[in-house]
Amino acid sequence: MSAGLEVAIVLVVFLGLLAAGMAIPFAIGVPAIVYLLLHGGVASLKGIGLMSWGSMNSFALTAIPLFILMAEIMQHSGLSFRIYRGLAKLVCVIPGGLLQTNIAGCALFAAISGSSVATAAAIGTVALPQLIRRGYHRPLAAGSLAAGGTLGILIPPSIAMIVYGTFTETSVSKLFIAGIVPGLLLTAMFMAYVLIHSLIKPEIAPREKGPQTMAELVSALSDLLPFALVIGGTMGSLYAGWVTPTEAAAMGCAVGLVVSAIWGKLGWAELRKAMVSSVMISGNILLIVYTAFVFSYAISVAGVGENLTSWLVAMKLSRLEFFVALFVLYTVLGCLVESLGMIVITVPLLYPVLLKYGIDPVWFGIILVLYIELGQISPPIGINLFVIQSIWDGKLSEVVWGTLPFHLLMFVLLIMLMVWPEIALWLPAQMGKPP
Amino acid sequence: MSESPDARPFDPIERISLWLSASCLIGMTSLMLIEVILRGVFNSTTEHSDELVGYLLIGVSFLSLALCQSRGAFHRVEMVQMRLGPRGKAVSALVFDLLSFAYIALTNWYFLQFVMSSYRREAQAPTMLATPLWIPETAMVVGATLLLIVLGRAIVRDVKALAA
Repeated sequence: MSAGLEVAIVLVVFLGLLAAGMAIPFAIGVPAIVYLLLHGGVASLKGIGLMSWGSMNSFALTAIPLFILMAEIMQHSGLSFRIYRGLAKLVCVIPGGLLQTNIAGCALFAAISGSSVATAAAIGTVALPQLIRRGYHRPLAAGSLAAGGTLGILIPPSIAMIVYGTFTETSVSKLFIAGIVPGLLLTAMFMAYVLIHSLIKPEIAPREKGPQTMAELVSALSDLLPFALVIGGTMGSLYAGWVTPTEAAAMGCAVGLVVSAIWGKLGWAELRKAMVSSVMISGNILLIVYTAFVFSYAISVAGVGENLTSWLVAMKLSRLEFFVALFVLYTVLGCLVESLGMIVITVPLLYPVLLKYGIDPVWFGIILVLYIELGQISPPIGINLFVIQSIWDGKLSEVVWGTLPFHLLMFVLLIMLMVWPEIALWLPAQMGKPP
Repeated sequence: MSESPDARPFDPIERISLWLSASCLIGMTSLMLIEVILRGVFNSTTEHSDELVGYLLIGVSFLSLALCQSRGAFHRVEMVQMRLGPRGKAVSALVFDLLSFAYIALTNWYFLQFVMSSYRREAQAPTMLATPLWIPETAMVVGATLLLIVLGRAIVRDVKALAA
């Protein structure tokens, strides 16, 4: 059996198991083991112990559970409600009202959470009942939350970037910092779209009143203070080069504990819940990463990466043609494969090719994260669509329709990043050297 | 991404999985904080934090799996499952659990070989601590074994559901 056919069979088995509903880590791991057995027989399994130890004993990956713990502490102490309440007062004066608050709230929550699902769920749970009650345009209300949630993996910290950085040995600090400008730009584009849409069709969003008194303004600002402290403490020290991403995450946990105790509701029960969900979310993500290492090991044992690189290089695609090919590949994959699955399956295969084309791995990391964001709101398996669907009483089709304009804006940002890579690469070039 | 743990109390396996992995998580956080404080305030370092945090990550990664499986925390795509009837769901659950069990059992066998080999060779970390490697490596075997127990229970439940 040719190597290409073997890979094709394994990918079909993977997609089949995934679509049929097998838990994602096992849907990656089972075909990887089958592939190892197909290619090298039982002898090829002997390296699994050493490979597992070597790949998971990784300092870069340690940031994942710590960032998750930080976000869970803040979410279980009820601080996500304060973000929305504070922003609602400050941002709702812009045409679009609470729809603008959705986007700004997601962007702010994204800066403490590394996950799109967490962001969409945290803000969506607080926002959707109010939006429906006040008569906002339903598809746009749901769409803005599903799309706004995707900012969770573009604005640092980002679990997707940590995983990408681990697989490609790219600096996670640089990836985080590279995500800031595109993340803010995408936030601004989303808000500008809502503004223009609500000016053209005022019926989509009732006009809201901003703070009426100085006391209301101070109260709104004080709602945002805990987040300013956590974000400043983690991302600020990372940008200054004082700490590594893992240390920044640990500091975030400590600062998160303090601000949650002061401004939120943090008792033993909330801490216990935060710990249980952190352990479960971490276990889930780390098993996906681990099984992806098994997959990566399988394709490296078979030399598939080298073969694919040679094949693609022999095609003599220009850089632009290569980007177009990637664009098609990730747009299709985004509709079929879960976000982390998309990184862990494609990056080990494509990374050597990127190097041949002289593509900056930091820049590509940001592009990849944007593709993942697109995938998260693409039917039929876009996970954020289901997160929002699960917390409201509308139809899935309404959520999908609501995300369409945001889809287009993400494509615009993708094109901008391809034409002007400096959007992502300028800020990392200015940062301090990590310890 | 907050999971919503179901209301039933934790059983002994879940409890072991939770306490072991939560201890690793707390240990990681504490070690990193100590490192930041030592470096920032005393211009010093523990020298060992990177090594120990790596071991604790292995702990979180593998020891949490039984809890994740038992509480249904692993993400899955529901596209096909939503369209299946009760029997279809039961059959697919059995097939998936059997495949997962076989995968983890096979992997765990090689983990065990790996740990035994480290023990026999008296392999040590090439660091100042010179940690005997079989100690942290054992977390992989313990975690995978706990997961196997949970998967085994799920298979029994699947068979009973199909037979009923």
